[in-house]
Amino acid sequence: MVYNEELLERFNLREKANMLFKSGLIDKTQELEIRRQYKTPFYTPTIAIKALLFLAGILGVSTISGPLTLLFSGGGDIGLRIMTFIVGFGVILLNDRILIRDKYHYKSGLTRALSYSGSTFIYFALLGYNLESKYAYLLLALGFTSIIYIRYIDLLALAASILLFYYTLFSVFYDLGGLFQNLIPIVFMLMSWIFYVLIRRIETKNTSEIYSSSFTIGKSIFLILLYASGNYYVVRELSISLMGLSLEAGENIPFYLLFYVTSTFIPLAYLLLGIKNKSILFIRFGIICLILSFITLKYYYSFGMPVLTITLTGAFLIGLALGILNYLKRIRKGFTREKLLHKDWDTEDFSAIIISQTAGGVPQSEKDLFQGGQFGGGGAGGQF
Amino acid sequence: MKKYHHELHDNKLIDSKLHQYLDAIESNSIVSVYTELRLLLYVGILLFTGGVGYFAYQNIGDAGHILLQLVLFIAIILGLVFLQKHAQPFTRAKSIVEHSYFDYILLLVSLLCISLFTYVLVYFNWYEQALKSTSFISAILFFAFAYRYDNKAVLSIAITVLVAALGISISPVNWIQGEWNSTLELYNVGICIGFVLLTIGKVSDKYNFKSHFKFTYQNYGYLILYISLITSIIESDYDIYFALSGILCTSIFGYFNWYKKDFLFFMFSCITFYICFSYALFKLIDLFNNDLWMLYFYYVPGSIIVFILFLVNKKSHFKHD
Repeated sequence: MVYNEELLERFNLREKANMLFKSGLIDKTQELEIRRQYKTPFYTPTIAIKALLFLAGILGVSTISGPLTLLFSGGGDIGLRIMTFIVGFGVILLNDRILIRDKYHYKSGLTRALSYSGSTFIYFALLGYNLESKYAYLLLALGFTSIIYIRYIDLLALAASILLFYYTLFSVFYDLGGLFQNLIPIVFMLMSWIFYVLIRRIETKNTSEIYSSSFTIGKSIFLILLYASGNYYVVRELSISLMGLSLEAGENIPFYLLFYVTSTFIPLAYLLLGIKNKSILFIRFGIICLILSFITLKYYYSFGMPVLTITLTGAFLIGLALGILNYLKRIRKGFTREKLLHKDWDTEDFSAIIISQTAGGVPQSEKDLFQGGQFGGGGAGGQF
Repeated sequence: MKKYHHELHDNKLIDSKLHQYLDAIESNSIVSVYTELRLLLYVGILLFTGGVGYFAYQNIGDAGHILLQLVLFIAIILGLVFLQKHAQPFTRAKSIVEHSYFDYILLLVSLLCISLFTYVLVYFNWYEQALKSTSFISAILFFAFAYRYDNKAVLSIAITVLVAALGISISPVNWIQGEWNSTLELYNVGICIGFVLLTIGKVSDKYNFKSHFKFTYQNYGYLILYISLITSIIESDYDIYFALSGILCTSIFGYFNWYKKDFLFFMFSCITFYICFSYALFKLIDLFNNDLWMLYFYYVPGSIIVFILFLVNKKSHFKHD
């Protein structure tokens, strides 16, 4: 890791102190005292400045590398690759030695821009653009994203490396063909579960706060992958589009009964495990996967009454949520309906924007009845 | 290092009570389902109010329609009773309701009112005649709810509906296909609405009448004003005049936002200024028919980088404490 671990621990402690202050659990003097005792030299700007610095970094690197590329384009393919390698190496050196070591940038946006662009340069310098083997590209990308994660604890790189790993494995099984292709979902499900258990093991032994978000990201991705590899819709549609499976009427995908079971029971299992072990992660994914399974069911077996289904589902959800809210008036079985700690994104202004962009789906005429998109979707129109 | 709450407690930076509380959270002895329940409720409200409106177009028989309207009416009345029971009396200041789902019931009731309103219009075939006024009436209803029960989300919907009624879609939500679209220069309307919203925000702040609504008014005001200005430059024949007035307008607002330390609105102003200024600059270069347009390749990245470096250098300016 390129950062000093001790300093990073202190930095995290300061963040926690700020969160406790915003939750109203400690007062300003207490927060200042904690900040005084745990000093760090790190420079971490607000999210807006982070985004701007990232943009500046990308623009800066591309502005400088453009003329350099032109200058060395006479040297043929090898000359260009050597040049790209030197530029990439220089960018990484600038990032590690000057920005991080001397200027103490930490998650400043600029560090991310430089580490990504530098490694992209080196990546293409090493492989060139027209290599035959796709595995060379995949494996080197996997290696690079893993290195970026380990070196900078970059969560985006962590997610990318997990997905690349799965994609590489998918390619291997796909190229082996035959039975191996049919086994892909089952292998993926088993693998996701094993990885989840492994991460959980490591997490319980680990006390450092530095990696806590890495664990959350890792666990979330594996839970989603476990569900997705067993979801009937995903398996069926991917079998058709990627593996060229052609289904006649009345035919079904291999092992289809298994996928009926997994589509139904994985969400329920998540939800039950979440409630039993009081794991908010499992509860969240239980709800999400249950909704996805419901949509899957509706996709293949429609009752021809979409309006009624939507309205009844809405009424059911309102009733369910109000029921639980009333049930949890006081703490029961360790669950509470109250907010325990402050979350930065949970502000009135932010939710007002989200709600105003999603709510208000009153139909104006019959023709936009099935155009969809009236609920859900939306999002904050780039105001932040 | 130990878990953060142990570390803080061992160094006597937090008391034992807080340490126990944090330990309960960290060890999952107590779990909050605050966000999850609210999300569930919100999705339910969206689906239900979205679905109910469509029944007006379904063939469910005369009795069915009457019954459904009656059910909606009763639901609204029940909701209003609930709201009145828990609401604070009206104040000019921010009123805080200590209830865990009051805001969502308010949202449900106001959306149901609109559903019922539309339903009645469709059922009695009044829709064609009432087309222009429906959105205004909806907007007024939302404004009334927003001010009476002090809710920013409902206020945001009210503004969106009002602006949509005036013919501008400022959001992915297509409220109504108003027939004014084709006949009016929309950007002129937009510029006026932008100024009006900014003025309302300013006035409510100055006279302390729901002054916490200021951000919502300003946010929409700036967005509509600036988007309309940029559209006017692209669409109008008087593009250069719009660009120049854009430069003037964003400079003034940008100056005030810098002075007031409003980072978000300062950024809005800067981006719009940049677009207007660059347009005017290259229009000028074009006028002299120079080869200076080659500058463009260095102008864009160069100017963006210089601007960002300026912001980073001045980052302490926007800190509120």
